[in-house]
Amino acid sequence: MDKIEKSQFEHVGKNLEAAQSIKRPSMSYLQDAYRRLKKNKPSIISFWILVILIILAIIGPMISKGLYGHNYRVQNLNIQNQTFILSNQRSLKLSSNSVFEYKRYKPNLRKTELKFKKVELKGQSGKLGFIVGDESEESYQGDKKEYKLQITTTSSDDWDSIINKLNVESETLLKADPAFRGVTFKKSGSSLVIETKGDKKFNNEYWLGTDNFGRDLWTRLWEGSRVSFIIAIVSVLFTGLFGVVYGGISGYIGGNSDNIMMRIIEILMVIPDLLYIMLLSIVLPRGITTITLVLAFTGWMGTAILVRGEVLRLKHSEYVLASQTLGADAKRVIFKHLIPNCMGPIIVNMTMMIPKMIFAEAFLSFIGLGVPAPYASLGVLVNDGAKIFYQYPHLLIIPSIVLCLIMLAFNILGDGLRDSLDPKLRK
Amino acid sequence: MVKYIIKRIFFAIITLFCIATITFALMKALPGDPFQNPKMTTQLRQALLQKYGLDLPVPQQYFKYMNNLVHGDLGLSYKYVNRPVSQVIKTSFPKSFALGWRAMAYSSIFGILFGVIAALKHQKAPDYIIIFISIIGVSVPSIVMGPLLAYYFGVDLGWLPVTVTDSEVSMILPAFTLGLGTLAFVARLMRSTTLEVLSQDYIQTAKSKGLSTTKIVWSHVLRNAIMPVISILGPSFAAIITGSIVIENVFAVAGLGNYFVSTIIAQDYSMTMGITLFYAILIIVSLLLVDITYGLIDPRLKISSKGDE
Repeated sequence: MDKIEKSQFEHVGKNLEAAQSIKRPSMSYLQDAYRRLKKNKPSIISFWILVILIILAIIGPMISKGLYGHNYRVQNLNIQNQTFILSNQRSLKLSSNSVFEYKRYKPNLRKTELKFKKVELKGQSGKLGFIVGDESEESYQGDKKEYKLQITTTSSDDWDSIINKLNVESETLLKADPAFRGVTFKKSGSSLVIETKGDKKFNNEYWLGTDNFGRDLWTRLWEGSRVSFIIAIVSVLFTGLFGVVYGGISGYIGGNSDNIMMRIIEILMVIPDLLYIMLLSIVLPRGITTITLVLAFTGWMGTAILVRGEVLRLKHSEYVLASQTLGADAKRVIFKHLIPNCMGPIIVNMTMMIPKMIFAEAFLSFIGLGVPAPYASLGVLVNDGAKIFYQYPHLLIIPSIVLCLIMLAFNILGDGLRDSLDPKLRK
Repeated sequence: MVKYIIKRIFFAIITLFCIATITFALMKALPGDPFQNPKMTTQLRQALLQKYGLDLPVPQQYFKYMNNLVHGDLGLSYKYVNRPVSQVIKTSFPKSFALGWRAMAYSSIFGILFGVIAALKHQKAPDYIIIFISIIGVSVPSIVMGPLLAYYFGVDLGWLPVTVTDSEVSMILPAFTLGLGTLAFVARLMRSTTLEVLSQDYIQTAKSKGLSTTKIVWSHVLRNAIMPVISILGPSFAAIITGSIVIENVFAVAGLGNYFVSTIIAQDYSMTMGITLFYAILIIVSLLLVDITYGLIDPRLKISSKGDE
């Protein structure tokens, strides 16, 4: 091995400039958190879903008002319970039957299709009749006509001949009046399916249909989402504000005042939310403000406890000591130093509170203490829909989808925020 | 230990006292007089006020109210003659209870089971299925879930009855809907605590000394992971009580929750307050019981309280 001469090396010395330079851009806490949140796909998707829903809640009612002049409160009883696909099929009813027996009978929701399961011929002569259309009910078939379709069978008839007879009878009715539109009869396996004919078209004017007072569901849905969002966000901001102040003071001052303040919270926490909500909403006049206030009043204790814990953890840090030494008073230390440093958990807590508030609002609407009548909120819409769910499922399902999306998105976003705002999880 | 229990009971009593006082204050704060009717003669009004004890000065009313409360009398309805709150509770609460304990039992048992399964099959198909179920359970409110289940299983498929009678089968749908939120919550919590326990060294030891998985789960994992779950049983009970108000209306159960909503619609405020007070007492007592049970079975708490003495 060759000997390496010392003269081969040159002393570079300290490069002070290079040591001081920062290769990568410096990142603030929030930038860093955002960078980590971006990697969490479900959270980002939830975030954009929420953005879209909030935008729709703002502009949705404006669109329908601009195009058709709909608003959320004007009732029009001529156009009740429309669906988003209009069809002029007539409803159908079995009026007389001494021809066959069946195990189960299942009409579809608008009774335009009847399904008889496990049918069996009785093998005797008899009558089979249907009533097509309904004078009293049909609101958007254009007319209120009712037709009778009836055949008589003999004991020698089998299924083919019965269906043939029914088809012939239906043809005769159609020839007499084209507005009848026709009926189809199908026998497959052991079940008999009867359906009325008609045209289907998209509901151009009422995009999601109308409710049972003939109000546009699209307008009411976004109007309601807006109310729900406002109630939830405002009440969460209130709880956040009060909780932060209360928890911050309690944690920073400590000692006996902390003890007393925490005992008060302990007692308030044990009293069920239901009690406050009920009692306050009975005593105060009903309205959006009351609900917001009530929800804010029930939620702040959790935030206060959380903030107190964080403050207790941070208050012996060096920077607090430095600030105190420089003569900062309690107010400055709490609000300039401690609170900004526990913003992460507070933000997560507030995100997770929002779906709870929306749910609480829906619950209040359910027991009849929610947003008063002409106004809409998601809770009101879901409850109204649930009442007539069997006849008109879209009135429940559409608001429910929006409600569940909001709850789901906030929950997933909250989980994502928790992961990204926690510096301990930094990779 | 005794000190801990006494402290808990003391706090519960203070809380109950506060609740009763708040309820009384709010009852007095209600706008208007319950017997305000222009057609009513002064004499009749006086008689009514006397019957309900409303002619007394407020502090005296307060003491009377508290005294009645201690003796289990929650007040009278101002709307319907001779209908005490305690009578209504006596007739309709058993129906709610029948539903409630079933929901509570199934949701905690299956929640624990699902949580353990999800943790054991961490990041495999069963885990994802259970996470999905629990997300649905948390974010689909029972107002939506109830009608949907009632329609598909009750009307469309026709498997289960929709209205509740005394039979066990008719309880399945409402109890299932009622417990779903708790099930999801318990399963999520159980999953995370089980995962935590599974990563402990003593599980490694148990594995290396050759114990079967069943044995490890039964005698090592479950005992350690179940503690946080027990501590949330109290709040879950409260959630089930609140939930029963919704569920009883969806499934037309003639229980207390159903009656409660009807009192609000009928504006029978004294009744509403009486029932709310009953719910509050129920929740507080159950929280107290859970706290005491937790103290009794958690060995760590026993040791720390011995250190106190």
